[in-house]
Amino acid sequence: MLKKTAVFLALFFCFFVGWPFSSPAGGIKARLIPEAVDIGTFFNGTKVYVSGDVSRDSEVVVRLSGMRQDVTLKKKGKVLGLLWMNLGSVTIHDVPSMYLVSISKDLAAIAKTQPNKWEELGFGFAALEKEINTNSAPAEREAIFKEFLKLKKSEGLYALETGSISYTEENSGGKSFEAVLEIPPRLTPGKYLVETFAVKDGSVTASTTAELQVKQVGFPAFVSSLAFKHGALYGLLATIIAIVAGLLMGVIFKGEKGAH
Amino acid sequence: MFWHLYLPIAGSSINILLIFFLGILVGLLSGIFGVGGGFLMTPLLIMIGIPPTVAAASDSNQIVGASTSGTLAHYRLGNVDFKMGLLLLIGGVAGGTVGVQIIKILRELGNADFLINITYVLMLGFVGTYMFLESLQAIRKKKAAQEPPVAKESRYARLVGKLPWQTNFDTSGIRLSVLMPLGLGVFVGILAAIMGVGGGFIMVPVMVYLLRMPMHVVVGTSLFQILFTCVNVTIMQAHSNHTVDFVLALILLLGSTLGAQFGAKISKRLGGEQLKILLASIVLLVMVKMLLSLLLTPDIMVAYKGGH
Repeated sequence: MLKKTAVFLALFFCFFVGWPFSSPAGGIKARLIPEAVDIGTFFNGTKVYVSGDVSRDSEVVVRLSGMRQDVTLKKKGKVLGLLWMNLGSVTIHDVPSMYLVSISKDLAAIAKTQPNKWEELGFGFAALEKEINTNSAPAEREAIFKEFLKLKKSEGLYALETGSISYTEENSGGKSFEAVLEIPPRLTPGKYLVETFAVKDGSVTASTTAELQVKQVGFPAFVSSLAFKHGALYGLLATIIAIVAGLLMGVIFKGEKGAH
Repeated sequence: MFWHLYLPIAGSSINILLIFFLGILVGLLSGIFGVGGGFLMTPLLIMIGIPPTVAAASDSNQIVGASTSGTLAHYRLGNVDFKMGLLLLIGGVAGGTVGVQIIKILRELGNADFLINITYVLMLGFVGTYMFLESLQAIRKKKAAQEPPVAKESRYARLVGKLPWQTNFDTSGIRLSVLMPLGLGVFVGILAAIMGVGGGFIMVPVMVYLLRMPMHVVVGTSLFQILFTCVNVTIMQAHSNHTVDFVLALILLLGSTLGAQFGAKISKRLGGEQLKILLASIVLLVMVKMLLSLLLTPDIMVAYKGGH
């Protein structure tokens, strides 16, 4: 229903306001639903929809990336040729906290059969690897990044979401697309970048960028602000509540005993 | 959808029921054996995706509740030696301060992780094996002949008897020098700080074998002592590291305070030797798990910094 209304409104706009909506040759328009994500008490991941129009012969790639920051990792290695331990650390510079790439089934097939062609577009993990720096020895770099990817993927923070873009054929020369980005539960507040690209003949022909605001609301926001702004008070309250809970449980159990 | 709650400090969401049952399990352990259960809970929390530092700090918040509940239950059963507990606590705080400094120096030397892991495995292995064998022997002896145990003066007992400031510990029914609980408190405090745990599973054998307290009093007194240690840790962590997730701790609490009450009742019903054998088995199990994690090739060769 919502989508139909949206399409209607869009057409309404085209007609009366006169946006060049029906001829996005070379251009791309995209909008986010929702434009902001609120993390409330019962938050358990969510979906963000990116929809818009693109020329009929183009493919669409949507990329969501988190803030870039340095990440320090502990490296595991063998001690005495037997025991696995944390041996030293390595810092990876300016890596996005989250990296979700959404592509259509057709593009996913190409990524699978011709990985080189896919990586040349610059959205894959290999492209990301080229962008970033580590303070490790060059020989080690590739292995470190590979393990870092495994870690991020296991958390659901880095993913290639294949088949998550669908197209509906429309007017002359253009088609509508809708991408579904699966936002994992492990989400930290901040600004996230959503980039939408139109790809044709192995190169990017157009792109547009939107911002996704993620913030904590309600109870989580209250707990966070107390924990970070008044740490000592927060710790004190946490222990008092724990002690009261323990005493209360003791009293309840004694009451039960008395009833026998 | 209501079975998931978002944890504001851990930055992820978790299943309420899963956490609640984890709480009950650890509460039971704590009520039965007088251990905080941090050595079990923290790895379990990390396994379900909570960052290591948040897991350890929130767990100590939870232990405050469980040990309050457990101490109260054991107090009603007449199982808490407050005098002994306080002396161990004073020693423990002093030892903890020393231990933190040792860790700092080790980290600067660069192989802290190696030493921590090796200490862990050796301590657990030694304590677990000793307790297990000793209790097994005691149970066998009891079955063989119901003769009353001859109070033989070992060299250790004679040495301890010579220390100054001897005093009566009425609840435990023993006479000891004040220096004993103070000194052993320092020892456990140092080890606990180095290993990053509450130290319940070292404290319990120390009370049983070195202070010669009766097993049931050991459980109650250990819980009393752990309560204060964890209040301190929770406030410190919340203040300086912001790693206490209260939402996580609260759900764990609901389970563990409940579990601790049942645990105290089970503890009363089991014999001292049975308690010791069970605890020894758990300690050995954790040791084997720890050893395996050191021997098996890890799935992912890097980990986020923070925690052990």
